Amino acid sequence: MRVLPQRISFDPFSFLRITQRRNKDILEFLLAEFEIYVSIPALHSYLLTKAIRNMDVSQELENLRGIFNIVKASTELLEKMAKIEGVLVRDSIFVDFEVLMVAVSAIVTDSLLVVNEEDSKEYEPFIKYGLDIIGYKKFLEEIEVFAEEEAKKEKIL
Amino acid sequence: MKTIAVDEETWEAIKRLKTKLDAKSYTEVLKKLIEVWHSVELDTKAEKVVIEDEDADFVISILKNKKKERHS
Repeated sequence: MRVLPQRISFDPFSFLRITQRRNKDILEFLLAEFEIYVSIPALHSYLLTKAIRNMDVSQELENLRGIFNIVKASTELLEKMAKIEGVLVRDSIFVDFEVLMVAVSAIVTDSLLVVNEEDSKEYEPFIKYGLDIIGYKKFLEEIEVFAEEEAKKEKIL
Repeated sequence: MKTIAVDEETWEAIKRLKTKLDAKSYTEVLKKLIEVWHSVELDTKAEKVVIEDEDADFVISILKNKKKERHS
């Protein structure tokens, strides 16, 4: 079992999974124990679920802002994205813009990135730039173990 | 040990709660109240941002289709 860091971020797939109703208990635990960072692509996917339902996207965005840390398109993020992609292109590695933004958002926030297992290969080129990734299913297993350990600690105290 | 002051109404309410909880001390009552408050706050926060399962599944299918198109 790995030691989970304090800061966690999610790719769009994992963020939609972790915020869906069937995972509400897990989300509550994550909110209690971790700082959650949300990249713009993950944020967009989330808001899309609301926009399709014709809900008030502005209000939904405010709700998210009050609960998660949204990773802004800051100078640091944009510069790092360009620099990293520049090196990758020189090495003939071509990545999706969305993957680039999700990966570099996790790098600049120094957070563990939770990704859909099927897509994990796309994130591998970023590991040498400091990206730490974990598959979504593996993450849930780790959270389960972590929650059990926390419960044991509470009993001891 | 620290002492806190409460008004008469709160004092009566907290005494009733101590009996209901079968708590041994007021520290225990306050600890329980704090625990419940955290739990309620987390539930409220999560409820604010939770998305319905079918909406998440639908947008995930869109993401997967977009990815397929980009890679085809």
